[in-house]
Amino acid sequence: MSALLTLIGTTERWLCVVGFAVMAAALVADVGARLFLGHGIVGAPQFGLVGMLVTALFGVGLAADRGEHFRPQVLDRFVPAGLERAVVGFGHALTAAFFVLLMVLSIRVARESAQLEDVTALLRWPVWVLQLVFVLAFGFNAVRYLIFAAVPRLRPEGNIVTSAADGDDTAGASR
Amino acid sequence: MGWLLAALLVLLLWLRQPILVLLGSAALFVYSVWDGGNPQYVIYDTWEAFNKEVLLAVPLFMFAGAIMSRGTIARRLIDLAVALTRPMPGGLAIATVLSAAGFAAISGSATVTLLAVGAIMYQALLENGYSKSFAIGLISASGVLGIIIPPSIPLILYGVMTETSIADLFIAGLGPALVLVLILALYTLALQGRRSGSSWDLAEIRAATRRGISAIPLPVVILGGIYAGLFTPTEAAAVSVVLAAFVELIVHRDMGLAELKEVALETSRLMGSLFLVLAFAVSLNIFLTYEQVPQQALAAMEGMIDSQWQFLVLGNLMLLLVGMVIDIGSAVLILGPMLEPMANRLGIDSVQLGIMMIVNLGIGYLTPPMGLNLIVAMGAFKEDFVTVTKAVLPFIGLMLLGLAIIALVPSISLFLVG
Repeated sequence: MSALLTLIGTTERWLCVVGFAVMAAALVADVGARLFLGHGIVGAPQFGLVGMLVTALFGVGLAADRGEHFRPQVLDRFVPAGLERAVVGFGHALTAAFFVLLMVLSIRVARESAQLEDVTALLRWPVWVLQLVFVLAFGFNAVRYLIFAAVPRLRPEGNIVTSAADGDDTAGASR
Repeated sequence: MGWLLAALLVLLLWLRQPILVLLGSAALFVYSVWDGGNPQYVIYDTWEAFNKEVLLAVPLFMFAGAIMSRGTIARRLIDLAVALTRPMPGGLAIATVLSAAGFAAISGSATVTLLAVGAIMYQALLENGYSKSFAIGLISASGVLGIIIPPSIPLILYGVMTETSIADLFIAGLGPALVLVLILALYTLALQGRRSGSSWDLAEIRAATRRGISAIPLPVVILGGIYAGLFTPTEAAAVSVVLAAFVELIVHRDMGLAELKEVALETSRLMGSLFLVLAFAVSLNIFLTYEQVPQQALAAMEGMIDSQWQFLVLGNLMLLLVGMVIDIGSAVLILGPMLEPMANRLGIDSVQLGIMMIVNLGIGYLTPPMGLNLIVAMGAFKEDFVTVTKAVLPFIGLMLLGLAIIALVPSISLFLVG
């Protein structure tokens, strides 16, 4: 289980680094060209969007590994102490089910796009190929949360609560 | 069916589900029950949400802020602020506020600003005879400037959700930030005015300016470029990444390429915890708009709220309560599109509402039980929750005063807009 979790995490990290590099490079090059050549690079923002899609979706897993998904704690006190472990475990299983559902829906959407032969604007890439990113990212998270549910010691330590919109991940509070 | 959705959300909350699952489940539920049983629309909406070019500004500003936060920029800004405020009574405390404002224009984050400024100024304030309570409160409150002074991620999210110009929001953030800086500085003067300052040391100012000058182009380029119409916010974000990388990798040499990869991963994690929440909020919002829910809510509330005054009082009270339990990003994503039509109907500008929301929800960083700056301050200053909470109490009052001024005088936000 631990090896599988590591494999998923490593894959996501590399995909994020590549996606991020594509996104940043495409936009910086586009702005540079606009400033110095007087015109942007055709398709560069679309490349940037693809990079953003890859980074954001696989970043969901990176955040999950560090327990960085924001979770309101207002009802925590209403969980009886004796049920605490069961609730946390069941909660992870429920999150896994949520991602399974999203994965199934993503497969359907990608299949529809393939049947309709949808392509992206400007770059003319098949949409279903890009929509597979949804399938893969949701699938990874489904497996991840199933492992969290089954093996408590592999759950993220500390479970940091963070405000992503703040652009920070340093705030620590126990989940 | 509405009660069933509410019950489902309460159950999920009790089962410790993150906001991501709560919002996603709500979107899946409404599309399954009310829209011919087609939850696939959530994926289609998510796909569309990821196709918004303006969103590209968010990771790039996060990235630039993270690069600059890793270096010595905070130290350099503080040295400059200390040198400039040396003759003022309570100069060191005022330098704390000013350096937080300066750092906020780079980091865009409340907690990073608190940590960066607090790491240096907390000990300095204590060594110079300021009380522990005052130092903690001042640094924690100054940190909130991080999300008000542009580039502000919550402002971008508000702009995306309400289709308000992000450039206008950034420019509108300047006046309110200045009001808050002034309030914090005046309070410091009133409280610490008996402390005598020393005279200006021109050599110190010259040296500090030379060291701190590299931090200045970033906010100037971002705001100047946007204000002059040279850049869109996304282009300004790309330029800020280049500048930040240039300053930290080449000028200061505080960072190597390996660290740049780490910063990219850190930003990816932040994107991972934000973007899917945003996409689900967009999906939910598309459904609500299609079903004309905001208009129905508007009609229902017309009898209760029929003046700007009532909206400002009740709206701000609600936002203060929400800010105590929900993070600012989720609150903006959910409430922004709901409040905007009502505000517009009562003659409140969308830009003004956005600024008021961010200032208001920013106060949530200082209020228990979920105030992020309280939690960060506990760790940074090694104090317990009660001590930190007591320390920020007067500063919550000051921020509320600032909020009242900003809410009641729209021109503070709007004087540069348009």
